[in-house]
Amino acid sequence: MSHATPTSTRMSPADRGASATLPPMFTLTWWMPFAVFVPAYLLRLFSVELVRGPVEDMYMHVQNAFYYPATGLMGPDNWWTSPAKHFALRVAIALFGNDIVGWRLMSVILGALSVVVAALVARRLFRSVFPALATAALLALDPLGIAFSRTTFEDTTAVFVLLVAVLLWLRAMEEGRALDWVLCGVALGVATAFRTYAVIPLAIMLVATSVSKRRDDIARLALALTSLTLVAFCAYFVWWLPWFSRGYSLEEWLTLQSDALAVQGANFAGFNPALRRLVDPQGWLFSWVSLALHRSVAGREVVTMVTSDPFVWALFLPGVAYLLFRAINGRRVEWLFVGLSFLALYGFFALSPRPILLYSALVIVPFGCLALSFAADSLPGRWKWGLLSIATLWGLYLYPLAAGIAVPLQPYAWLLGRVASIGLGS
Amino acid sequence: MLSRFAKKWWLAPLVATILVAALLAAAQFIGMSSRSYLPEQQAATVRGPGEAYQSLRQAGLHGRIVVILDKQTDIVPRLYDREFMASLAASGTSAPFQPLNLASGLIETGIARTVYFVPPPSLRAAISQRLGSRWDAKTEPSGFSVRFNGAPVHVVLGDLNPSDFGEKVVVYANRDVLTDYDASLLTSLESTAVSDVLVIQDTP
Repeated sequence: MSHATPTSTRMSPADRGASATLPPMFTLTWWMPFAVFVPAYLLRLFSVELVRGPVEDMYMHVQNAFYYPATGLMGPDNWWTSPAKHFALRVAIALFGNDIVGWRLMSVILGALSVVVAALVARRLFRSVFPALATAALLALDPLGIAFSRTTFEDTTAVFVLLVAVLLWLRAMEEGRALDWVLCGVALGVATAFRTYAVIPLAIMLVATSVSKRRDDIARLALALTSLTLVAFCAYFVWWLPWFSRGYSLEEWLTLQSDALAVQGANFAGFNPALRRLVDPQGWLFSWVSLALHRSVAGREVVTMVTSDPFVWALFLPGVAYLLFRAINGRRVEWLFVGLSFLALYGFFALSPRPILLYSALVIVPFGCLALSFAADSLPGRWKWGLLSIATLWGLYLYPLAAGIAVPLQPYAWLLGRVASIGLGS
Repeated sequence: MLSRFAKKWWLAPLVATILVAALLAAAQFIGMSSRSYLPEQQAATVRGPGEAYQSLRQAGLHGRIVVILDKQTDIVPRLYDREFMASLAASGTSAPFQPLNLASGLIETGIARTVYFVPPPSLRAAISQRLGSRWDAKTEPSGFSVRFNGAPVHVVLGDLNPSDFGEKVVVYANRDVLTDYDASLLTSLESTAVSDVLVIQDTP
């Protein structure tokens, strides 16, 4: 690794740090992850049992947590989703209890840990304290992340494992340790076993590794590529063994994979006719992800809303564009990976015909926050801290919605008028 | 130890390939050894799907292909009905949670891994219309297939060739509709080379 040159004083902190070792004040100390984790955890934990509304699939998640490890039965949960979540929830129930808090606590913890890991990714990527801090603040207050960290949906776990994989990949790319490559492959396989969309960053990582390490020792390259393919496959495949115990063969497994992929890419309007009222998913390409469910309870209209942060969401695309520009200019393959992962995941979901994008969007947010934090770091000091302050205040304003705390409609009426809504009757 | 291994990185693809092969072989072995067949063909007459289910369960069958010749059109449960989802929440956590019909009960308990539903020719058009509008139905050369809890349910609306199964199957048939089928199909399904269990529903 080369050291900073005198000309680097005109470069942004990210660029300066990219070619230099970190100054001591930015070196990770033992308390920093805790300082990030505690507020993120408390924001997700507060009244975690509160929402029991129709947005939840937790009853079928819990039933499958018992069925799948014991019998390999893929239902009543959606059979086209990957099965690692059933094991994870079963472990969570064993650790935290078989009640609504116990079912959700794993998501609370891993959702908060995702904030820590994303901050570590930002620090390693951009070698500057501001992007790490900004990424942590944006993700800690992200309403989509908070909402899903209070459910039993597997996306929170998938995103956490994927971020761990990204961190390991960055370390492996930089330091070349064999263990990092192998663990990165395992994490990618596990992330894919939680949500199939993790295969998109995996593919980008594979190409990025092949290109940037092509002049390395062939044996090292072989280890890297083996980890990202064969090791990842093993870590993906192992979760299906209970399904095989129902008498299935490898040929039938391949058909299942193909059918699951077809269903995941199909138009889900038949899933629930009410979803036809939602806006076209392409509408979310330049708008923020949100959904409001209207119900009438005892004569009162109750609205359950899940929304991303409109302010931060609007800044994602400019942030990614700036990151990609700098990545191409500076030939930084790791930065390119972040920008391309955002675009590939976003494009995949926005252009697919299925109208349910809420939980899929969760995986996009960390990549968007990384890009936005990097772009903000290039602003003059007052501006970037101002931007971060506004984003933080905005996140606090949205927090009651994210946490499902009952609030008067008036301060949020403008937002409710702009989100995709469906009625569920009484 | 790891650093010693690191010096032999070129071995990584070989080691990983062996690992993948071992895992795939283990999965295949688990699948094949989970199937249970009867040494000799058994035939049973039952009064309804409930009794048929009990009969197959008592025979100790697991991981089988089940061929159903019947007229019921709701062979594939409509999983996403709100009433059904509400019943799941109230049903506790002991399997089978909702024996909606014979096919779903057999799949949930692991007796069937794949179901072939062969409706009488007179019902094919109606079933084809219903399944054609399902968002998750897959078109196949002989009809449609949908999955219930991950298990394929093939709805055969054309010719069924029993020799294509490649293993002995369980046959369940409703006597009320048997005259509607081609006699050669029934003869071949009754053959000991094709089926090891024959269950005939005889309406009292």
